[in-house]
Amino acid sequence: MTFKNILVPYDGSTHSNRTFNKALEIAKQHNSNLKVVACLDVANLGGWYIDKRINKNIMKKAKNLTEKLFSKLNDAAKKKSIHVDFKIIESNNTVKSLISFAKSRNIDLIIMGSSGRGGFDKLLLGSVSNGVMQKAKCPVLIIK
Amino acid sequence: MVFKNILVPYDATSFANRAFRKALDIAKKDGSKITIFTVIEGEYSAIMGYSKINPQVIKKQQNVAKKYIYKLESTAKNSGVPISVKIKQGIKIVKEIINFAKSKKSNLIVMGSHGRTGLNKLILGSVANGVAQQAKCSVMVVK
Repeated sequence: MTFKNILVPYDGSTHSNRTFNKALEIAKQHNSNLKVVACLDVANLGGWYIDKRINKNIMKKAKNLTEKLFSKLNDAAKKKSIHVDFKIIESNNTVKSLISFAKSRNIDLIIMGSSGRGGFDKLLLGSVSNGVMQKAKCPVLIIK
Repeated sequence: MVFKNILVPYDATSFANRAFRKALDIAKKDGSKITIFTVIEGEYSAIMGYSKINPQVIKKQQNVAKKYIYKLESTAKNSGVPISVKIKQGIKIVKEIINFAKSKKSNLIVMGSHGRTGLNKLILGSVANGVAQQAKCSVMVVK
């Protein structure tokens, strides 16, 4: 078995949905464990004079939204009888936290979309994909 | 079948060998075809640039490349994976790889993260970076 643990960074975009479907197919062939991770950006909204509780509220809503998305993915995975682990990470550096997550869980392969929510240029590679590809210690598969 | 045609750009480095082995693993499980592609640059001379490339040098380089690729062919045949080989001469390596992938309708490009040039092993090599950004199909970068 070559790819035991597969990591799929997910952000709810169409690219990442396609990536998830491809990852399901690959996981079925290689009998591997799938791990889907969503990174929530802890951005500081506005200046010091804004109440920090607003940030907390936004994070709570974002978490609810991602959990809803995850449950959809879980249904799709259950139809193909593949077990998928889901995790939500809060950080202010998406690339760094994805890399460290991959290291700590002994990930053998990262499958990700070529561009996600951030960039507008669909011709070139997205910033997160680019960063992960350059810094990851394991093979990275980029789905276009 | 997830990936039907797999393209492996090869330059005889250890990274490329590892990429080839990973491609073999995928092809075995998937029942896909592997195409090995090598671009020969020729010899760069500071005075003439690439404009006048010595055909003898090209021939020598082609022979060396064939030797390396012959080994790969035999390992692929042992594991029962259909394989084809293409050696081409060109100057812009990234462009050649992408055009070839387009013409062959490859679904996946498997390549090493670094090749022959460049000394920084921390970040991605120039060819791998260029291919990952410009390719129209999925790209797997093997470290």
